[in-house]
Amino acid sequence: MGTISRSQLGKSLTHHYTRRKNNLGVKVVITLIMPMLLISMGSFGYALLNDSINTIAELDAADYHIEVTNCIVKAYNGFGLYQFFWDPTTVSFNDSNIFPGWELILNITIHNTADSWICKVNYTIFYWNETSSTWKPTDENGLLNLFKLEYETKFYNATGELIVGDPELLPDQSVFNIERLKFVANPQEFEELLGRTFDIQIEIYGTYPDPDPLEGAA
Amino acid sequence: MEQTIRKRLLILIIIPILLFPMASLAYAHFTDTVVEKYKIHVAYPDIEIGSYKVLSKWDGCLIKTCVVDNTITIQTKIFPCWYAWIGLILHNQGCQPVSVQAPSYNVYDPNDVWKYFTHTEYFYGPYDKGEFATADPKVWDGLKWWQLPPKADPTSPPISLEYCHKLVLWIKLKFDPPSGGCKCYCYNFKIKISITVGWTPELIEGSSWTWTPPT
Repeated sequence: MGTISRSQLGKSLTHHYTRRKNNLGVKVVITLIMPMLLISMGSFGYALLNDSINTIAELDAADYHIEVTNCIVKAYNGFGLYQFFWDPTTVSFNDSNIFPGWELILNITIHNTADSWICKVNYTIFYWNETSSTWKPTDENGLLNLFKLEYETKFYNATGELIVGDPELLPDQSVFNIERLKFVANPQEFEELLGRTFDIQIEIYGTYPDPDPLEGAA
Repeated sequence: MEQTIRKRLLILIIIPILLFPMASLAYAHFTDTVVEKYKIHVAYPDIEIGSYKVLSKWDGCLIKTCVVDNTITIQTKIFPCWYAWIGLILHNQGCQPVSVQAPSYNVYDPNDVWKYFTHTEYFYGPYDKGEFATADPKVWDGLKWWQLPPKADPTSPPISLEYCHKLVLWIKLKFDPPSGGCKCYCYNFKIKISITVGWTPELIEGSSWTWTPPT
């Protein structure tokens, strides 16, 4: 154990010499054969690549991220007993004492984030249905009929121009939304609505743009 | 003993060395030749992208394009009703006519959305230099996405393209899932579409020459 006999040493040296010789042979073969192989492969590749023109379209689904970056109460004529807060996903306004002529105007900045894609900004109005305990979609007329609330919304671009139709935002672009809510109940309607609580929700969402109206217009 | 072996080896080497020139000299004295040499090279058909465009309502910074060799790569994000026009000028740079085939499509489609794509191809030409200068504004230069396809008569493939001639190809690629039926856009899908325009060398018919004895 731990020693090596002379014959073993001899074998070991011979083996070492053979290995070196083989290494040399392998190197020579590699030097000669590798360029031959590479040249053949290169020629084949060249021939393969050059008998066609290729267009590769790498397409991913667009995904959308919009957020509220600012919200201010632009106008308010109530008694001041309101709670108001906003974060990037929600704007909340609670007033416990509204009256005929009550009016609120909010100025909301909506930003299409840089990792988003070109998007159309739109909104849906919901109200809380106490019977079914669900949010029900409605529209401006529905809001007026149910709660005598006038709802109006307008979008403006960065230069203050009114946007006609649904705004389309590029990534990293903002739009300014002015929302107006006015309680327009007449005295009789006001009597009927006394003591009721209205929960309404405006969901502003970013979605894919409308089809191009100019497509195939030529 | 060793010396004898060396002498024999020397004789074995030197005698053939002497004999070969002598034999060659003798052969040259008694014969004469003329030699015909042919050096022919098989021409390789070569079409290059003379120019390219990607037009869409949603292009600009929203579509990234790059060209490496004869491959254009387009990267973008898409949504229902998205479409783009891909325009190519195919220029025969080889020295023989080629037959250009209709594009073929190969897709990597892990989310099974290729069925919602439509594609249409329009070839215009072929044009030589003078013809292209006239046709250019109608089929290529200054066209906007809403002016496509060009108001010229397209050519059906396969199309014979002579040396130095040009061909204009417009491909419309549209993602058009049925409304309500497809919810594929609700999740993150990706697709890689490889569009290949291939060509083959055009065979020239043999001449009508017949074997006749020289006069």
